Amino acid sequence: MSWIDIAWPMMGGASLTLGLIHLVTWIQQHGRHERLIFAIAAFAVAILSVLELQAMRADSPDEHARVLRWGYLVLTPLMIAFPLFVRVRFRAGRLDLLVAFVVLRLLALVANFVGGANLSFTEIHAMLPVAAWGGAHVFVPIGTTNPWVVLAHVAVLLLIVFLFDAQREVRRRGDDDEYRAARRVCLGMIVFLLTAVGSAALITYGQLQLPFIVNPPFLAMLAIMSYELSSEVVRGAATAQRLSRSEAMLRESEQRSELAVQAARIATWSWCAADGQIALGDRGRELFGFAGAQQVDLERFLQRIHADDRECMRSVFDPTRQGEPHFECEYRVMHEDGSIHWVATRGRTQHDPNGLPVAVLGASLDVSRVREAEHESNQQRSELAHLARVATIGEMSASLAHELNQPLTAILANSQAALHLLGGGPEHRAELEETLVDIAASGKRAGEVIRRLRSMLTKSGPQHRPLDLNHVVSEVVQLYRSELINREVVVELELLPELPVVLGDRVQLQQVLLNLVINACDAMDHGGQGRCLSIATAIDPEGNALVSVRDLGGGIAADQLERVFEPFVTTKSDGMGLGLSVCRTLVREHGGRLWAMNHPGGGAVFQFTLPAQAL
Amino acid sequence: MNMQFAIAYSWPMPNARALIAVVDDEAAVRKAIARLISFAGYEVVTYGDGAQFMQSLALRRPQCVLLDLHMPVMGGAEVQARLAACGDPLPVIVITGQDSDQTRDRVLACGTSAFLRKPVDEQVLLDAIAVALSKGVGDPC
Repeated sequence: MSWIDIAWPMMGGASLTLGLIHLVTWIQQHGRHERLIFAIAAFAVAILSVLELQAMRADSPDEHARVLRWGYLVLTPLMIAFPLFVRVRFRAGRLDLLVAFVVLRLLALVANFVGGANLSFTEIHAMLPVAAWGGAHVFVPIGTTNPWVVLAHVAVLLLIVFLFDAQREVRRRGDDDEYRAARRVCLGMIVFLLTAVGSAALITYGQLQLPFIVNPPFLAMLAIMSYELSSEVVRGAATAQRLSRSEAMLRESEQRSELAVQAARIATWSWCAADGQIALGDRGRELFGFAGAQQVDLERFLQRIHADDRECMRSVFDPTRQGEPHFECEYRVMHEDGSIHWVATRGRTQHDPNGLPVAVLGASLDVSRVREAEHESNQQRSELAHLARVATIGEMSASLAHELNQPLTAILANSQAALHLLGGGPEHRAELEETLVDIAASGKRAGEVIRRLRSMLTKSGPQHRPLDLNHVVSEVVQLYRSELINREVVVELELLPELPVVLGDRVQLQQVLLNLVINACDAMDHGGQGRCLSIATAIDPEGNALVSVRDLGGGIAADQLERVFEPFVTTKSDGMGLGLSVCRTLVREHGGRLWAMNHPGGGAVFQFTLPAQAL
Repeated sequence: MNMQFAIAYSWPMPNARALIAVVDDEAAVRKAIARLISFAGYEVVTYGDGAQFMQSLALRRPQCVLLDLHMPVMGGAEVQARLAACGDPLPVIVITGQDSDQTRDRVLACGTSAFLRKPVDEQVLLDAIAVALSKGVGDPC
């Protein structure tokens, strides 16, 4: 037993194992036909190794001729497997060359069975024992060359051209990795093909006295193909690793978002059009007031929302709603125990290709505390405004008393005169009537003063209505009239008749103006150039209504122009310093701006704008 | 401002036709007071502010003036100051809605005949006029 008896079966076993591995892989990964082709080639090489060993051990020409013939039968699918592998794996190589090659191989196979002892020899005359390397003995055939063997050689030439062409085609595609693989496979195949076929040809033509040894080069070709297939496995494994790493990252990111969602007490939920149910987590059930595991369909979900706020959420699920997939709603949720919660929701609607909503994802948050705080702060602001108003009224109580005293004086004098007229006989009837009319007029005037006073003292929240600011200015001047006279302040009005209508609360705007008027009068008490108060209305460049109140006092130091609007900043000994700060808040709540500046001609100017009401 | 120089109310009272001036910026007030005192037999002339009254003095001199303090153009205090400046002894009755004690003391300190608070009762007013007239009418400025 020589090393050949060990090496060849080992090569056969190796080929068989490789073939089996790739066959199993092909069965598992459907569609990877290059593995099937490889398996066929490997099985062929395995059989070939057995036949080749037999050929080397065959001492009679007949036996050798028979083994060679069967060898050619196995060689045919093996040879066809190489170009098929390239074509399937790289999707390259000319089909016409492939077809021609296959046809020639099949013709050669026919010649193998009908044209002599086998494709190599028409007849084998003798078997020559030869001492091989390593002390082994083999038999070498001596015979007449079969002319049909040229078919096999031409076929090999076609195959080489096909392989060259295939790797060039892959190169043209510009994918470097793919080209390197194609070059490795194609050039490797060409080298080992030349080795195997070249040696066989030399033996066939009697130029070389050696046995047919094609198995090692074919095994090398299998190795190249196998390397290509396994590098694919390696690449696949790397991809799988990357995928699993990114999955791990995704899981981590999901866990992180879940933690954030839990920490922020956000409830996430989803709606699926297919079953019409809302899927809620524990937090969602708590937020929307659904017990345990009860099913929540869309209608039940929407019923939880306060009827006045429901529309925004209903529209999210509306099949006719188009466009923007993102939504944001804030609404009250009514729990069964009667408690009300403010909930803010953001979400996204997913539409099918026809634009119908198929799913809605939402994240909801209980914002009741924020809303309560807002409400409280609004209430406090309103109360502060009211307090400031009461304080202002207090400042002008003398003026108000005077305003009431005037009509009362007239009423008293007129009614006493009327008593005289009553006793004076029918000829005084006309004058009596006139006197009574005067009394009624004075009574109305007193009533008007009371009405204004009451509205200024009212604590009700702001009521925004369309207003003529000129009218508000006139009312305030009227309200403060006697005080203006008392303080010897002359008022100049410059009211623009075509002033745009603004939307606002009359009482609050009166309060703002009254404060500015009182401040202007106070400023003129402390020096300046005169006692003239100018109130003007105009339209600013942006189309807003603009009101200016100018005094002729000493003006405001430049660094104080903004500070005067800060709370508790005052220059008056008897003021709390809330007036201007409240005024600015009120004007802001009306969407306007209040600021102070010094007039180039002396004195300070306070101006505020209010947006014109949209028509 | 309503320029109402002189609205005279006539009421048959032959024994006392003293002329009383009423100066008040409030038309309703001056008309009502004029109406009331005309029943007591006085002839009444009314003015809307101190300046009008001062101008009228050269043409027609009343025996007594009922003067409001708060008026635009020229208030009661200035009228009194001007009268005092030229030593005019015309009796002045101040009728005002301003009821602080300081105002009252200041007004009475400059020789005012009476200080009445609005709203003023008929009898109080007529008594004050009677007292003022009894002091006699001095020479004009």
